[in-house]
Amino acid sequence: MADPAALPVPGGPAPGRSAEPRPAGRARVTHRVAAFVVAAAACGLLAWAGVWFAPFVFGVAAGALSARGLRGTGLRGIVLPVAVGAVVGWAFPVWVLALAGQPIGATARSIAALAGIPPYAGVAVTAVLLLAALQALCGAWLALSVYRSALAFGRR
Amino acid sequence: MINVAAAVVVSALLLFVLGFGYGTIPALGPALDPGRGAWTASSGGQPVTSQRLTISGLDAPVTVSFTSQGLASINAGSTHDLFLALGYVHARFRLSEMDAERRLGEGRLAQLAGPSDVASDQFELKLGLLRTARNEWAHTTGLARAALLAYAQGVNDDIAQVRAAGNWPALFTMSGVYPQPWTPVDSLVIQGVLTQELDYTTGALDYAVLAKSLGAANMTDWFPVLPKNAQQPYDPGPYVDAPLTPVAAGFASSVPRTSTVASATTGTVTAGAKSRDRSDQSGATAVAAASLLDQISQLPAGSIHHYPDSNAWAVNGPAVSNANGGQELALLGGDPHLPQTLPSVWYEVALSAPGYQVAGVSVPGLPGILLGHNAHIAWSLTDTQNSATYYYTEDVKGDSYYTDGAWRPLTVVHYTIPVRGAATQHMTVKITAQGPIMNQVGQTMAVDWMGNAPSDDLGALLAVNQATDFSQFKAALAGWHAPTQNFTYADTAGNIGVIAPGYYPQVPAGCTPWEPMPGTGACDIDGVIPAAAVPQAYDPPGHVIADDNQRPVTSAYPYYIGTALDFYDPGYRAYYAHQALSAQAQSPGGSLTPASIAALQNSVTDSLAGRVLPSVLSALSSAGLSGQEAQAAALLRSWNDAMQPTSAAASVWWTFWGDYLTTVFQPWWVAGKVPVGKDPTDLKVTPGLAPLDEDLEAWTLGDQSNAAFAGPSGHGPNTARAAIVAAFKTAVTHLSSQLGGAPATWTWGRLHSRSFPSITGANGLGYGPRAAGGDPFTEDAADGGMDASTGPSWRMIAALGPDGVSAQGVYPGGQSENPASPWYTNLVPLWWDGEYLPVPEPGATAGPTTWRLDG
Repeated sequence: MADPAALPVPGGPAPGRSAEPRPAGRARVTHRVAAFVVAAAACGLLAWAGVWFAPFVFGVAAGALSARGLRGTGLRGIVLPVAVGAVVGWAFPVWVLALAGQPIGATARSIAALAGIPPYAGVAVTAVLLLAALQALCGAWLALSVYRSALAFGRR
Repeated sequence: MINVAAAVVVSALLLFVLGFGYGTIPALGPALDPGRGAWTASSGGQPVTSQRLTISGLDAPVTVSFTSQGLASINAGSTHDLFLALGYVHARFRLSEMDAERRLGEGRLAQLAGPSDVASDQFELKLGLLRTARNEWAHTTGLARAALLAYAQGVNDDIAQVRAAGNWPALFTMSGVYPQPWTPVDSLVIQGVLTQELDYTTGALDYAVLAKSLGAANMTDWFPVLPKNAQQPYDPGPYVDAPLTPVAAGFASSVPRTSTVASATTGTVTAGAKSRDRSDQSGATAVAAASLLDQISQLPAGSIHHYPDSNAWAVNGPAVSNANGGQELALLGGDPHLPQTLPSVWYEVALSAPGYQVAGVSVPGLPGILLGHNAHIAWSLTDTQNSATYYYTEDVKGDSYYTDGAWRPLTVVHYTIPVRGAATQHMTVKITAQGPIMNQVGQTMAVDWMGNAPSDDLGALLAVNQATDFSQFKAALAGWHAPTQNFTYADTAGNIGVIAPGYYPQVPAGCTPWEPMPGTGACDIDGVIPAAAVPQAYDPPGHVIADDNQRPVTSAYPYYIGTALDFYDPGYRAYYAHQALSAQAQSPGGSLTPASIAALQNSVTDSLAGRVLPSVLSALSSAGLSGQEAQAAALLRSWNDAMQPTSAAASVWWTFWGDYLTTVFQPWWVAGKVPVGKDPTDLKVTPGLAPLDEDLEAWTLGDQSNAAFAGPSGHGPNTARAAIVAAFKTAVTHLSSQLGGAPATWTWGRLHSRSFPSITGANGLGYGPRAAGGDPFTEDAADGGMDASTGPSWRMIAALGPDGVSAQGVYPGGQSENPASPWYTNLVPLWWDGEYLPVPEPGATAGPTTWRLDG
């Protein structure tokens, strides 16, 4: 799991950078919604293509943007929207299958049973969505850490 | 830097584990990918709809129709297309099951499931199902060869479609191990797995272990060749006493056609080997037997034969024809009792092509119908239970073994065992003329198992499917060598019969096949019972054939077929069925209908209780019983012997019988230090050890002062009456502590249940446990412990007469292996309630849902 201490303070300056003016409320929301939508759409579409590690990639991108301290790209500005987007993106194909009338609940129960976890649909669905969030947050942590470390190295 | 390092390490680990898995943890990334992973298995769980499908290899369009319950009917223009379509349909609904079964037989289970199944793979590769299947395929000709090739094509058509669509069954996506193309050898391996499950036994090993612990005299007395109790063999004689049919040396050794044969020398036996001390040998044999039992106990449940619980009955005569106005001349009821799993071992289907019209249950992985009917005959199978697994102790030196007066080279075969999440293992199998070496702890032991004799079971089965009378039926089964089965038969002309084809191995006089024998060549199999002399009956004067895994012949039978330790049923089901059917068949106004057969198949009457309880109650009548004990005894007095889940008396009876066995035999087991842990199923004193049931029944009814009652110390109960009282008091104590103080509340359903576990072993994908009636001695048998998982795996009733054959059947499960499918467990409620569905008619449309398969 990501080390919370290593992540930027929500709404505060990016590590190693001076505080910048906070974007206006409407722009902030726009940034967050855009990050969420892009992440959700991309992770959902790429899941259909078998790119299961897309949440991690988008987490890395979000972390990198956040680390650069661009306007509105703090933890709440982009990392969390991307993580939530990844979760929603992963939920999307399952939702589509359910809409198509496929027995998703029973399938989820089977997945849980075969995975050796309690055989309940909710457990499997939760586990899968957590996996998307975990990937995204881990990717963001990696990007932030590397960026801060590179910055510190450059100052020397 | 620490933060960076931690982030890099955690990210790398996360991606690695998700991408490649770790140990037995699958690669969860692709497995749980919501677009391509296990979620896509949901498509296989959708209700089946009518559609047109294109599959390669068909010569002409094929129609597959389904009833609303999923029962299938396939109509094709040729047998080639028929078997191709059957392979496709099997794979559509049972691909995971088929792949798991072939993996089991081919020693590739660990590749799917991990290190826990290495022991199973090692056992199977030693035993040699794959070698035997390859040998069989090399000799398979005619319709069987064509059927296997077409069937494999059909399976591969489905695999190709699934691969293209990416909607694999969840077992594959969750494990990351996907099925290889299907081959005819895979089908023959599945035939071998079935043979092993029905025919591979450890009786001789158990005998060796018990003999060392209990002594030769007790073994002879308690585990005799012929059962002590009264039984009802279906073939009462007279018997043919013809010379043995010779067999080629090593006919069942599973030696592959191409193998590495180690260099070896031929010489004379060493003095040590020749003059081995008899007692040392006995001790070493018991150690080796215990070691092998230990290995076998690690196999997946149901891998070898344990429980003798199938029923097949046929009736004819006035009681049948009068009851149905001459429209029915014979009835056949069949319910093979096997491990009850989800999915089932069976797939119900009707098959139709020019010259081939048959319906019943098929085995996913194999073409043809194993139990069912055509337009002229119906048949069902039970296991014959004869001794078909002989063990030999071998003198081995390096890559040579000593037999027939010379050192001979072992056949050596090398295998690799891929293990999911662990290093690939390598193993070498050595094979003697007697068979593969299974154990080298204590003593080298080889097994000569008839299941390794190449057997044209499929050719026989396809010929049975097309037979029109008993002579054709018998002729069709001439090539059936293993597993030995009782094929019970009825035809539209009103004839009934039974025959038990297969190899019944014989050894020279003086040899003791019920325990491991020396591999010197002196006790090698020197022939098998000739086909004309195998157990059989045809149109018996009593109009009843009751075939329930009992010893099929009387003591007058001139050949050895096994001892009481060979899992022959103690005969209670056969006796009860014969009595019940004969009562109608032989009475002037008797009436036998399909409903009569259904009632019998669902009967939970324990006929042992009926035999023994009068003696039990007599003993209790003069015993000083407490109030609670007296209440429990009163329950038995007013009981009808039915093991209903609501019956408190049933609990008292069954607990008593177990405690009675323990009271009498357990002191001997303790004194002899029987290593029960090596094979609890077959060594522990329980009602499952049939010879002990037979002994105790016989002593209770006719030898109440048998020396066994005194126990090894001589201070035991001494008589049956005293043992009964002691056991009854113990039983009441057991029930009171388990179920409370009021005997009237001790209902059987509180103690006894049934479960249908998933073949994956995954919790949550099975059915049950659910309170249930029955016990191992009832027609509706429940075996495998107090939560039974072995019993009627398919119930069929066929009525035959001038108008043809009409059949009904049901099995506990459903046609689809997909737990999300409405056809996963939809047949369970019907089975549970004793109801049946019409078996689809060959050539007719089964129901409204139809697939058209185009080439």
